[in-house]
Amino acid sequence: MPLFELDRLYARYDYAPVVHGVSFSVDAGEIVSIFGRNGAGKTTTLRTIMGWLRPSQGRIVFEGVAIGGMSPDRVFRKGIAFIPEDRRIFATLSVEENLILGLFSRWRSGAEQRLQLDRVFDLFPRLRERRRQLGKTLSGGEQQMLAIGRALVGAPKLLLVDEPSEGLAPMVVNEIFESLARMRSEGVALLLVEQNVRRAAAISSSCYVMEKGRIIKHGTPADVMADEAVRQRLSV
Amino acid sequence: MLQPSIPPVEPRPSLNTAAKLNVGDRLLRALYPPRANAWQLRWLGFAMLVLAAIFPWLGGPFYTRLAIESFLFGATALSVDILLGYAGLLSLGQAAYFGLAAYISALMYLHVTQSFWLVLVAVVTAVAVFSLVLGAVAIRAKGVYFALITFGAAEILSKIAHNTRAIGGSDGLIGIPVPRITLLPGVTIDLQNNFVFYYAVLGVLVLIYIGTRRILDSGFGAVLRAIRDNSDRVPYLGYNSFWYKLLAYIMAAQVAAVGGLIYPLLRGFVAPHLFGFEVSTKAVVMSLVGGVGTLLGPLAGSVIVTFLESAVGSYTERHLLVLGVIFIVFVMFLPDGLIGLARRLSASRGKAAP
Repeated sequence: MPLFELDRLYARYDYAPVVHGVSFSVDAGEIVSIFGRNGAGKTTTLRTIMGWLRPSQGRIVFEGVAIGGMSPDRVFRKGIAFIPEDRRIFATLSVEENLILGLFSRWRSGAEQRLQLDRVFDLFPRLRERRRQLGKTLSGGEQQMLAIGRALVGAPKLLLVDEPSEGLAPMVVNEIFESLARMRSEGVALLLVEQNVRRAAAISSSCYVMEKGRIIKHGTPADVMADEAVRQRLSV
Repeated sequence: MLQPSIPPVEPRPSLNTAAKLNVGDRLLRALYPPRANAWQLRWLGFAMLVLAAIFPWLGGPFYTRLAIESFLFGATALSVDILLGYAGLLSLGQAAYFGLAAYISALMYLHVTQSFWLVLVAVVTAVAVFSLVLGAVAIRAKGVYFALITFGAAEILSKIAHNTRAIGGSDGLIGIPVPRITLLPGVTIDLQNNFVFYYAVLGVLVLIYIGTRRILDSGFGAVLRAIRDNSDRVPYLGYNSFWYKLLAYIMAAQVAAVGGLIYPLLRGFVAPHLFGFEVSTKAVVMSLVGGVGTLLGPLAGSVIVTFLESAVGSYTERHLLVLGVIFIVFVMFLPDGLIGLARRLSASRGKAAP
């Protein structure tokens, strides 16, 4: 049984249907990427998984439990974390406070809390240097690191990441993708939505291509990159 | 417009060292807020405490009692700051809890009991129930609607008090007896004595300040500030922001009620105006004058505004006009209040003389 499964999901904003029967699955410790142009319904799919939208049809199953229609806070406590495109770190809280927020909603001993914080600081040494700084004083790349770290301290089993490389310098993008790959080696499954197809395909074990709310192609990264029609659509 | 000013964060001792502190150290740390960095704020808190401690020896009975009144309104201003400075909710109806506590306390002393502790239990219970219900309704509304609902609820209570003959109608209740409060068996607090009354209220206020500070410096406070920063993001970290806001609202209601609990003992009467818009807005102006989001600022603001009002009141009856002008001036020119001004002044001086 896969860790996470989406079965013919339909979602809509009021009267505008956006997602039409999307199905895919993510296994434990796997990176799965979703590609597609703007407006293909990728972000909407992620939001529906997180409970921000209620699916109009279809099933969302996580660890054998149907989670469709749960509120975002409950979905998070089931073990799914979400890093939105605009990062949404807390501007007037310090780096450390931002991270502690990721921990606080589930009870943990002080020792375990420090362990989780250290794990994030080992992943992103830059955050350790800036632990006392306010969120708004960080650069774009550091904010993205903080957003990833904040999702990670809660020890999720599945992490949804929406366009992590958006608006970042190439050097920083390298660092972010390295950290994503390292997370997989620590056993976190990732569902990645990304415009940077080459970079994402390089760390994925499985890729899906979405267009107009449907999945038009599914396969290994090599399969997808070899398909000339898909490459043209994604302008790779 | 009412952007709360957030003190920059200072290195905080790790969880390890915090556990090793003894009670005295912990009290000191509570008085010297760890996250509100600046030594300015610590010194200000210390200076305010010293000034407050010696004040009755300088002031004379009239000003001592005026200072007590400013402390009672200070609790209400503090409750505004809990909501505005931390949860980002502007309440225009904190007078509801001030008035509710004042009326319950007055009615119980007149008709039921002379035991302060029984009254305390009744007030805490009533305020908890009322704030739970009103909070559950008001918090679902966003932004200005939250302010309007809280304002409306306080006005309704005011009208009820105004039109109910049994609780004195528009005249209110007068002749409230001052009880002797038994602190411990054999130790009583005699509120007839101004000095005793003053230091008792000061002690209560310091305890409330420390308690509020401790709670809001914890993870709970961080969640509240996160909600104020970005309420859409908080659910994705596993928090149901409704419950956190509701808890903050109930907490603020209890703090505001402390003022009302003691007010009848100070003035010997209660009247419908205690529920009124004037009390609610005065609490907002006080926290704005002091500095929203600092917890200490509203306490300073309440003393300043109360004494200013008294001074102006001896020349003209239109003291509300002065209150309004103060409000406008602070919103336009000093939105982070006097504490924010002090912080900026000392920051610029620090730059000038490296």
